[in-house]
Amino acid sequence: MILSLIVFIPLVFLVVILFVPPDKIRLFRTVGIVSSGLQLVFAIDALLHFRTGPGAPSGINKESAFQLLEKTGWIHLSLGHAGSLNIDYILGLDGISIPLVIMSALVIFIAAISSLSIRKKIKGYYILFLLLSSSVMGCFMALDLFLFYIFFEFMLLPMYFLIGIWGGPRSEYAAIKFFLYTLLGSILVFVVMIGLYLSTFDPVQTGMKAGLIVSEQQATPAAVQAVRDSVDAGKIRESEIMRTFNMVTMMDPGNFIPGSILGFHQAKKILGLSPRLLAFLLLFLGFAIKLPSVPLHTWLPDAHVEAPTPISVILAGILLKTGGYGMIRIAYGIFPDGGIHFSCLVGVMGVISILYGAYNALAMKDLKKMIAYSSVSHMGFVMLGLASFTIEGINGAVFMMVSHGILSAMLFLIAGFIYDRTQDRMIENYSGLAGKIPQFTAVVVVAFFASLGLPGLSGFIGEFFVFLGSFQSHVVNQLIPRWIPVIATAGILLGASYFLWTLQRMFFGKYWLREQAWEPSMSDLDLREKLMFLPLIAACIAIGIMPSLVTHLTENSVVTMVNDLYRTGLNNLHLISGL
Amino acid sequence: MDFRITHSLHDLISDTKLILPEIILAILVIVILITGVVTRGKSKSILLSLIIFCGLIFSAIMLYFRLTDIMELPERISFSGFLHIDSLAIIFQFLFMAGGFLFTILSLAARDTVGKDSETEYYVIFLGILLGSMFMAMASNLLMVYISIELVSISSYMLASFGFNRKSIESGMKYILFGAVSSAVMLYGISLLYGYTHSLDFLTSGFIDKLAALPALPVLTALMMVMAGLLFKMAVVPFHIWTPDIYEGAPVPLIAFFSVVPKLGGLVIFARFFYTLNQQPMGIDWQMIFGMLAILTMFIGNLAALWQKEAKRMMGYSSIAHAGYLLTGIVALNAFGLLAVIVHATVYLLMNFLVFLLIELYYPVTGSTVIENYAGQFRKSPAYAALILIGFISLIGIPPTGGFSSKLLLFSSAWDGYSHQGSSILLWLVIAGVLNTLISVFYYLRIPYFMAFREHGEGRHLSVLHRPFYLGVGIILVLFIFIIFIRPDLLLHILNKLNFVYRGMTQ
Repeated sequence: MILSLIVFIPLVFLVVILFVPPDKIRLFRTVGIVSSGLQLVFAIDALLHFRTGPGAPSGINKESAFQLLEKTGWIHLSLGHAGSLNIDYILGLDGISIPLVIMSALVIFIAAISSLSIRKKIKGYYILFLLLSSSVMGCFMALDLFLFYIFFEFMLLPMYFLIGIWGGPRSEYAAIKFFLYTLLGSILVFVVMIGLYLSTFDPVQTGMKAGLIVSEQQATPAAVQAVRDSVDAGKIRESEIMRTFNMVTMMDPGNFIPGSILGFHQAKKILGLSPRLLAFLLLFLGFAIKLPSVPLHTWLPDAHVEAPTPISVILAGILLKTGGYGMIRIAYGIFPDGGIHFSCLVGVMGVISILYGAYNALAMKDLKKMIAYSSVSHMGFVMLGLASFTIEGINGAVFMMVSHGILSAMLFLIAGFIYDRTQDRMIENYSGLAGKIPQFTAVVVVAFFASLGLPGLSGFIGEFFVFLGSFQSHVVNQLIPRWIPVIATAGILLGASYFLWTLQRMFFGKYWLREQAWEPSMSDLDLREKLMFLPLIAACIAIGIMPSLVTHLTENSVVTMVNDLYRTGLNNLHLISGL
Repeated sequence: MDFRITHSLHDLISDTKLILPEIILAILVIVILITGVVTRGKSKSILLSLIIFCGLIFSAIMLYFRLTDIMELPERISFSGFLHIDSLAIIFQFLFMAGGFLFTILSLAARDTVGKDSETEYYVIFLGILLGSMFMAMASNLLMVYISIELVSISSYMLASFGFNRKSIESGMKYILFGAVSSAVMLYGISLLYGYTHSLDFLTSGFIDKLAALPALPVLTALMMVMAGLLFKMAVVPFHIWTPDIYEGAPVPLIAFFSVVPKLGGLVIFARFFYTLNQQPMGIDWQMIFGMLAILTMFIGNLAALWQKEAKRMMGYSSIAHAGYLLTGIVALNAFGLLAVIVHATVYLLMNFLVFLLIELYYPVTGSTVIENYAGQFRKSPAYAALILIGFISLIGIPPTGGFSSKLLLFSSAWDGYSHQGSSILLWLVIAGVLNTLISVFYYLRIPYFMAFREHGEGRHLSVLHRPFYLGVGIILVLFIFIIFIRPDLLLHILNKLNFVYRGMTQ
């Protein structure tokens, strides 16, 4: 129940405020904060119910590995000769999703506070904000591919309008660019989704339909295996095969229908590649647009520069993570063979993102654009960690996403702080702010140092794990050669330089502003801003000092993922190339 | 000889009760013509639409009886093979009826903008198209195909010139020329086919067996001639050029109706024809030919729509693109595909009417259907703007709308066909389909874009829309669109119950 609550609370509030006249501004603002506050409370409650450590459910490829599972049938379509299709409503959490859910709930709450500064078309803004906060949460919890896709795609439209209407001068261009890029990504996922559900079947349901299994309780592994065998032998008629969108079912290679397009005994090649590898590539590209990875990143700086502050916060803090999460859960989870086969590609794209993002950040004159490119650079680490397919690497990738969620929220709030006061974000227009607004400067120092990877703050741990994993990969599984992480280390250096250089130019030296008119508005943090920054700083320091806060949540799942999935992947790869 | 005549006369009389829905529609034409002549004044259009409404209800009831008849016997061939009444036909006929009802409501909303002196003609055109489409869904004889298509065509020639100005006369003239040529070509193709097979019953196995025995080239020529006529009606590339002009010139309700119903009528005939052709190997890859046409149709429809500045023309190109999507399901050549086509047809009917309803409602406010005039509407009348936005989202195929579900089914059926039959054109169809979804975003979002992001020009006073009844109609349409997304199984359950026969190639 609790997971559904997290997803649907905003929708309930949304229905309520639809009928409120648009001049009740205070009410809308309260609703925004209450709704996201409740989401945060329930997310923490979910965290408290989440069992960890030895003995707790572990892994990502069995339904029993998920906690707080909610499962009900949703759509059952009988398609005549093509069998039937099952879409379930399944929400669940495992070690990979829970830290992201908590982080998202926190970021949404902060964004709701930040939204108090929105001045026009308040009602419309909150309607879209609530829609967005519902769908991002659903995205991290959905275990049914169809459900995931709906949440994933449903973020686009609210985001499009939020950027386009409440954004800056070139917001319309940025909004449509965002929409098209991410829709292209979703469409790649969509194509694979169709292929997947046509290729997998639910052995339990199929067994029940064919009369091999009496009830769900009696679905022992042996009985399930018997069903698979009879499907393999072609004993079950096509019309009795129950197809499914369940991601967890798709992760088991035994559930692929023999001879189907993404199945294993398939000699067909599309564009010279096995369909499975192609499917991985499509999924990877689809999510890489969202992540974003160079060269698919160009929507991000535009969208960020034009979006209003709270929306930038959600965009960088949460939306980008749905890309990374999708890679882990779907691309790697269902096609580990592709992950192994293309590990070099993923790693190289990661490194290019790290370096290219950092180089661009160095050159940016607009503070917000600088931060946007730093996001591109940081998300490169996520790909590098994933490519290594080691426990450290994947832990690092998840940690990086959580840490970047917190840090990018802070960074965009910092840009918003300055923009609120002067309507100008050019780095060169400010100097020596430290003397004038010391509290704010302290916040900036924490955020910048955490982002550039100072030990003791959250950014360091993520990068450290990622490098550990990617250097080790050479020894453990030979997936990525050593030169890839070696080159990536340059990214740390670049990261340090653009952050420190910006800090020096804007905050140190003699106090100076380009326009005299800005002088009176240069005040330090007010209460609302303190309320926004404090929890984020606390979270950043806490997981920086005690990374185990995150890793003890993730470790069970990551260990199973690396051990089981890696073996499955090698096995699958062998089956594919054996033909 | 004597016996045969009386016997077939007897058959004819007993078969008459099978086409009661169509007879009622035909009577309705006469009633409307007479009432149109004898009444005058303000209440005329309300009276006419009331009569139509009652007539449609009668006709729908009769259609329901026909359905219960069919449930006992899966299919019935009547009028000595001219009509083929099966559940596939009836499903589409119900859709046409639904389109008819929506049209009547839409015409009520539009009664101020439709020409004052031409209400009678307006309704007669509508009935002509409806009647023709009803027959199209049942036609199983090439002669019947021709007659029903002509019934629709002649009505729509009038439709094209309905604006009674220079431009619409010109587009009407163009349409007549195109139409006449395509009819002539089709008739020529039919006569060739008759020469080859001595039969016009294209659903019988004898017909196709004889064709299969002939060399490919003459058969291909004759069949393509017949198909050209059908594709012309469905606005499939390269027979689509007439569409946007007509859309621009004619009244909105007729366009809303015209963009869906005859297209689906043509689709049913096409489906029957296509499935029959594929029962026998003929050395011609029909899937490839029509798959290519479907791809072309999607691309040309969507790409041309990008450049439109006028809402009705844009919707014209959108309807071309949707003909391409619908063809995908037929070309997939499986039962799943036919099911997907029916679902998409249903959703398309709903979302198209929704968009046209709002275009009509906005007309007094915007003064024209030029897209730029929709600027600032989100602010002025948010509820109406939200409805049209949902319509467009569904047309793109983004969740949570029925348009998403039906596109999912359509592309799945093509993908399924690919994995079973291995014909690579089906894979390309899926790829083209999703790419086109992306292209279509540009123009479908253009009206919502102007509504939300642009303020209306200065000096123009914008009145607030207040048409609560039609807002309610719009909300009901939206609810249906949502329901098809949330529970598509309800719709499919009904379809499965009807147990319609897929007579394509056995897999």
